[in-house]
Amino acid sequence: MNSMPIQLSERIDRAIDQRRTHNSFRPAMSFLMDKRLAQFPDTDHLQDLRNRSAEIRANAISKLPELLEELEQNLEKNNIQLHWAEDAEQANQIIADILKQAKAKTVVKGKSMVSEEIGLNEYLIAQGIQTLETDLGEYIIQLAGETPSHIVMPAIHKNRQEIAQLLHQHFPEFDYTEDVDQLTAQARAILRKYFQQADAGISGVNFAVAETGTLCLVENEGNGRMCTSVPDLHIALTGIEKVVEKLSDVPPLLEMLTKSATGQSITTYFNMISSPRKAGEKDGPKALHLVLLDNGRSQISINEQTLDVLKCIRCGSCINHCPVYVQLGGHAYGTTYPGPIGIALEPMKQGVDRLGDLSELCTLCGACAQVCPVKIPLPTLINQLREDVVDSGNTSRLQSRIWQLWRWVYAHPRRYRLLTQLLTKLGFLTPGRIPGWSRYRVLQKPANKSLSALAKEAGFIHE
Amino acid sequence: MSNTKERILSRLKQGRVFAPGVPYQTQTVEEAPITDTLSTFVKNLEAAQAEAHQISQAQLLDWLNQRFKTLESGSVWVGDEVLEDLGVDAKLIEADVNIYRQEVGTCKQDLFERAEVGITTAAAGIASSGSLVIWPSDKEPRLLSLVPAIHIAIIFKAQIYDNFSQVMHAQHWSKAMPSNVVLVSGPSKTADIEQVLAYGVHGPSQLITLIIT
Repeated sequence: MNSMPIQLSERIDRAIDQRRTHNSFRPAMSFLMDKRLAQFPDTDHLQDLRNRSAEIRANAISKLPELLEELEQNLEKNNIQLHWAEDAEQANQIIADILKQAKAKTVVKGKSMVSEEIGLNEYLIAQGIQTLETDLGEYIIQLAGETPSHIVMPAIHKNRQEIAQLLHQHFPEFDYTEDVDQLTAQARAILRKYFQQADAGISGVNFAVAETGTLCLVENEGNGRMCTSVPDLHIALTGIEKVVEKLSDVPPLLEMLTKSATGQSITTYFNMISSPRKAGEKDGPKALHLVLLDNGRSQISINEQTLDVLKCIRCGSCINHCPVYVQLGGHAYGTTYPGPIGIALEPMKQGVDRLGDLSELCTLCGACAQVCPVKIPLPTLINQLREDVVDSGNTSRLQSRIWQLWRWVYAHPRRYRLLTQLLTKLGFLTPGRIPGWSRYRVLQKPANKSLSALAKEAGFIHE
Repeated sequence: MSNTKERILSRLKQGRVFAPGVPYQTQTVEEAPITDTLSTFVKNLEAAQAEAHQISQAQLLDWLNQRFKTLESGSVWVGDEVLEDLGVDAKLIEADVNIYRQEVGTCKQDLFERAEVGITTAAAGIASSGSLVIWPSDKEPRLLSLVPAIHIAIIFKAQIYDNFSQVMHAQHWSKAMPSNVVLVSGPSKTADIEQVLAYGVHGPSQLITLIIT
């Protein structure tokens, strides 16, 4: 079995080819990194903030079963109907059933990575229920028939010409324009009609508060508010790990989420939803449902080493700082969650056999761990994945042989010195290219003198 | 369905063996105190392209009328008894005023297609993030601050706090949460197209804060 199955290397080739002819992710990632940094000018203060939010999430994960039961009790008191879903299939069925019972034919959706994870849109559309993304980025990629390439900025891989063409192609009644304000105004006009007429709204959840039975949702556009306030029916969907214990946990986590994700001190809107329309109220949904999805998360919690990954608040910081992601973009990973969090999380959920090769998309530089607002030890988890891949026999024979040879040489001082001499004396024999390896890498020729020889000449004493 | 719940919870409880005694609420963070709450509040709102004006309650009617001169043909919507509670006679407003006191089903089209301004009160203000706490009720429905393109929020100076935690604590939120509370921190915006900021996506394109001093 190859260590890099055809599909992954094909996706990588495609990603790098696209980057040559296209816009790269570099400007977008630099933009997001700079904005985040501007929010944390004091490094000591930043560490205090990270320690606090890590503690809040670690506490919640350590008590997850109790907090989920407390959440359920309070949701019930608030008239929010709770549904438990083991896997994607069950979650889709539950949501479709709720919609069918309510005779809902059109659904407007806010951004939800969990809904991407379960393939909700395709499922509902196949059932004859019109399902429309309303977050501008998600709407754009829905028109294009694509999946998000980033968890916070789903259309980050599209430039304005592509977006202009998409809108004009689907809505020829609007003039073609590449002006961002005009494109935005067009999208507003198009989607407004849907908000007004939709039978149901579906949203994700950023934090579910056990203490009060409250569902929290961040957004900048107002589409989340539209989806959760205008239609008569609101269905919220989230993973079981999104619970926090107390309402007072929310402000610190909110601050870390928005500052880490987009460098904002707060998003334009922060919704806290605790019940459907109460008696006497004039608007808001008449019925409110929450679907809690497991889909492999409870299995992750069984292992002391892996359960840290459940602290994730989906800010995308790790993705923004990853030197591999910036070269490839999200689609190359082939998973719902890309970047460092994807490499850590997805093989845990889907198995090392299926996704172990994702571990090769990491240089272990550690940038992700430095920025994670809840201090998930991502490089440790990815390293563990590498071990698991080797232990499960999922590496190629060639790779195993190369590492055996490496160990044979490097563990023995005499062989190591011999190799060093060979490399420095015979460096001129280095080939110009090695098939496969040198496709995206420049082959370096070894120097004339090794570092240890130079150090000796300079008088450094070996310590 | 309860079988699913039991299976999920029992798997989670198995995991509990590894996580007893995890510390909680031990980490406090020193926040730099805000010296001038009001001006920080105003500064942060304006940085997000919202307007903030400080006026007295007596000036409210005139201020609104002055502003409504620039309206297109649309109507002004406001909650039940809200203007009266602020000492403003709705009949003296020089615009087409709609009191939102009927169920949304009967007025949704009007709201979406004719409402140009929505006026609400705010339950609190947050200086550190430049946010307004919009707390809908049976008197002030939710869509007032969402559907019309212009949202005018009226807040009393004394209701402005330094940060979100303070508001939650001072107003005892954990005792009783409303069906929906939203923190509004500017006009609606997006950066989904090449990270270029554009305003007025789905929510209001203008947020005007009137601080009653």
